[in-house]
Amino acid sequence: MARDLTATDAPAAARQPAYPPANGLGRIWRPLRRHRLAVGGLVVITLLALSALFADLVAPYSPLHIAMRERLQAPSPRHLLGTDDFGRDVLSRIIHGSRISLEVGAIAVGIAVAVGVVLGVGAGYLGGRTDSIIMRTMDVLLAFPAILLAIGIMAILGPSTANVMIAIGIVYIPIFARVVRGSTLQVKAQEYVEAARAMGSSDPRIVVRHILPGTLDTIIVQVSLSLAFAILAEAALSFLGLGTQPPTPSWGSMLSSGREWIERAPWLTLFPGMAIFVTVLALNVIGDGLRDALDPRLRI
Amino acid sequence: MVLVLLGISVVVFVMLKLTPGDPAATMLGVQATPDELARVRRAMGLDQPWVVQFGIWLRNLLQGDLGVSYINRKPVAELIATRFPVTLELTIFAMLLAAVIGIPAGVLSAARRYTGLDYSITSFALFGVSMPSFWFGILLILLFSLHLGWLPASGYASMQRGLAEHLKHLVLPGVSLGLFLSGSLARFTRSSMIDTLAQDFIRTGRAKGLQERIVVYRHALRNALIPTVTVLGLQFGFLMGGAVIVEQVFAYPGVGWLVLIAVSQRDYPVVQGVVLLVAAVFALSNLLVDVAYTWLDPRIRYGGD
Repeated sequence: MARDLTATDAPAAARQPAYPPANGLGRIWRPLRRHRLAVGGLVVITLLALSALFADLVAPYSPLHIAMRERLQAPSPRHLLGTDDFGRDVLSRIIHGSRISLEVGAIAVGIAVAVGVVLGVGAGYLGGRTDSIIMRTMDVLLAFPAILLAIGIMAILGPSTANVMIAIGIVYIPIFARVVRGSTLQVKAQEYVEAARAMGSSDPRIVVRHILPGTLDTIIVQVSLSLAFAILAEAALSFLGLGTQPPTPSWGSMLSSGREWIERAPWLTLFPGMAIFVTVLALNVIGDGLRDALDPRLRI
Repeated sequence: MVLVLLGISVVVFVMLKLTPGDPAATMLGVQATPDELARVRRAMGLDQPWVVQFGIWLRNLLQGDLGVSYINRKPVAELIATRFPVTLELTIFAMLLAAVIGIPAGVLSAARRYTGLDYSITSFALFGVSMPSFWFGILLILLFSLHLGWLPASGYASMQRGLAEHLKHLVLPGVSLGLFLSGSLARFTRSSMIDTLAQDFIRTGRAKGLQERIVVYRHALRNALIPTVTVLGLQFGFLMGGAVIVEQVFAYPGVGWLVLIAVSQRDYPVVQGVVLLVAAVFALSNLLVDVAYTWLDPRIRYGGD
């Protein structure tokens, strides 16, 4: 099977990085461009990120502005997605809610990557006792269903947006540790790593210049899939009342408070749910595209 | 396996210790005198070092004693025992539903690769893995309960109210819970079938003139199902986690419902009890998968690890 240039095909020259950083993005983009769905997903996420970034400019109203005289209005030209039980504009709240979703997703996955990669590379590169201690600990964490572990952690930390980031981050650490350890073991066995060691490169140097770039593909694919989970988990925790607290708009808590009005004002549950679904769908197709482009061996 | 279970209990114990608040103070209420507090703390063993506390906690655990609820003073084990069958039934129902839909869909999709059918199935699967269960549940309630009036919107009916009534209450939560797994099973079965269909023995089968039907459904399917069974087993624990959310949507009185009430009331022994139980079930189902694996595929043998 034809694979794009990865660390395994790189020349054994010790002083060169595994691939030239200059075309690092192009290396991912070229095969991904052919995956039309993934490009669509990328467009959706970019639009979402922009609207989150410029929420104050894009949103027609303040997400917290209460107008009791306009409560529970159906979608209309004045309020495109209707108003909630406090007369707040649903569209504006969804736009501001995208901030919470993307922020939690990015920071939670950031925590998981930072800790997971260190543990995974450590376990894979050092091997022996370090490896077994790290991986057995990860096995124990993996023995809890993700969402339940997150609920357990939230029970200790107490409900807040920041704590959701920590809880989801912790839950995803073992997954990154495991996949990164796997690809570290693969890269470590390559001849160019052997060559680097023979030429007297130190361990930290080998890890930074050779092992980490070699595990990058795996990390990128895992990041896109984990983002989908993190956004879903934040919505679920907020839906359960354990995450972002009202009146801060979050898709999950909007969905949960809209349930009371499900018969009179179904738009209160339809639109926030749609926002979660579209975002997760977009991230999943990007993840699929990246996996096909970067690592045909990885399967769901 | 034993190590993992021990690890799980250590994690749950540490969680219990990290939770804010003093259990003795919680039990006695605000008007407790320092003397009373000290007495209760001694009686509960809270003045001992953590290691000793863990030993006592573990010994009680092995005897089925999970502590007492802070709120209604009932044994946690008893509270869980009445709720667990409800969740177990919901989870098994969702799993069967997912298997019945997901596996054939994945097989068909791989056998008719790049046809309209394949695209419809892969789209359905993608939809399934992207749909938040709690939103899907609400949509189902809107359509089948409020609009069509066919099924109850929430609640649970015990068997005493008749099998039909019991199943009516089970359908919507079961479908919401099973959707994700049916999508991910379809995706997994498809890729596993495609891998198998690319192997040498399939080419041999075709070369010796076997019917395509026999090649796909007898030779390829058998081999492709091995990893699928593993995934199915591994997903059992995730389903129990997902049940927490779905039970909340449908006011379904299982352990998920119990744990959420316990979290909101800071009733930590109950929270720990449920987390411990689900993790143990998860670990056991993984063990069963390993056993099933060696049975399905005699090439695999586990050495002493």
